[in-house]
Amino acid sequence: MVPCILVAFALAGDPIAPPAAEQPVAAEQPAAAAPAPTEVAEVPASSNPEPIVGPPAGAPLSGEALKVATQRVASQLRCPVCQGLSVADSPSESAVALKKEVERLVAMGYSDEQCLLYFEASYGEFIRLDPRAEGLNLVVWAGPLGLLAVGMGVIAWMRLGNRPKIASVAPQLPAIDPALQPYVDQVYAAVGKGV
Amino acid sequence: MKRGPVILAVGLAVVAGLVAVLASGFQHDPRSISSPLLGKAAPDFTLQTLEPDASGTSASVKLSALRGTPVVINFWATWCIPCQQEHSTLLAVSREFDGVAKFYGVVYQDKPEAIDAWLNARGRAYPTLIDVGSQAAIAFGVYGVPETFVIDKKGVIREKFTGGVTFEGVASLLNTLITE
Repeated sequence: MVPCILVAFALAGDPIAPPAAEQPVAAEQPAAAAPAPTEVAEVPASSNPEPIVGPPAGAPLSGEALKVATQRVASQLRCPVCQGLSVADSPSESAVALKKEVERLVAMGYSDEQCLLYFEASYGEFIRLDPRAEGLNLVVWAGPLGLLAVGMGVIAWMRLGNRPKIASVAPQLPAIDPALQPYVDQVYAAVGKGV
Repeated sequence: MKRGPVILAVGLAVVAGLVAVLASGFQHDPRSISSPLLGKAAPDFTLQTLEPDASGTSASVKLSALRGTPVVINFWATWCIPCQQEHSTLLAVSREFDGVAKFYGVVYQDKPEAIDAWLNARGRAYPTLIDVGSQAAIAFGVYGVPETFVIDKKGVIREKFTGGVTFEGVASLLNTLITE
């Protein structure tokens, strides 16, 4: 198990946190005279998925169907700032934002696969919690099965190797003195067995 | 055939395989995640500036409207220590390329008041955009901050810097993009 975890970390890396500094760096530039911040209207950046994944494959969803579909898609997306958690399972702000985006797409009628492809287009395949079983990914999918097969083969081979051989357990008859062989033959003849 | 050497060989082969996988993982920078957007058109967004314009209201910035000029988009946050480290570098390089390239800071999961105080303390040289709902960050596939995207005159993403940028790294790329 430990090597599996290590392998997972080695493959996945840690995309989250750049190395933290020992101390914050003092600003080199003097602070400019700053205008007062304005009230920023709640206008999110509008991203249109259609150029990437085409028009929605299904009908718009709402209510319970929307909730179920959102949860289903979010559970297939990796939280970008977590280790091995899905967007559905993570309470982080990034995951919440992604889940809202999933909900927006699903509500428009985009299918599960369209949603996954949309996020994959910007994040790469890493965003999929389960990588596709193709190409080099097959090593990840088939590797455990291969190791299991090798292990079972070794165990089977060891068990077969330990099985006592008939020849090795057969009683070893002492060598017969040639002078006594005629008598031995007579005994076998008397009991109906040949030598 | 003796079992001992064979079992040893199989065990060594399995361990060697694991070590090879681990070694390959340690050879690359885990923070450096290649973006599938490199070489592709930058996702468009329309975001509002933190700073007011002449009329006293925040202005909208539409990324696709900036074509014709190289653009540097820096995703950052006030709670991000490496963002503090690279801020002076970004100020310097933006002043160096003032008028020939546009710089925007896109604030990631933060509050306007905190952003303003942070910029007042550390200086500002280019507009700050507020990414409500992190939709721009999602469209750019931002895993964490800081991440900086350099976009050419045609609107194509030419480079992604994960972690703090260097003056030389951004400046050399901009020098290339300006002459294209």
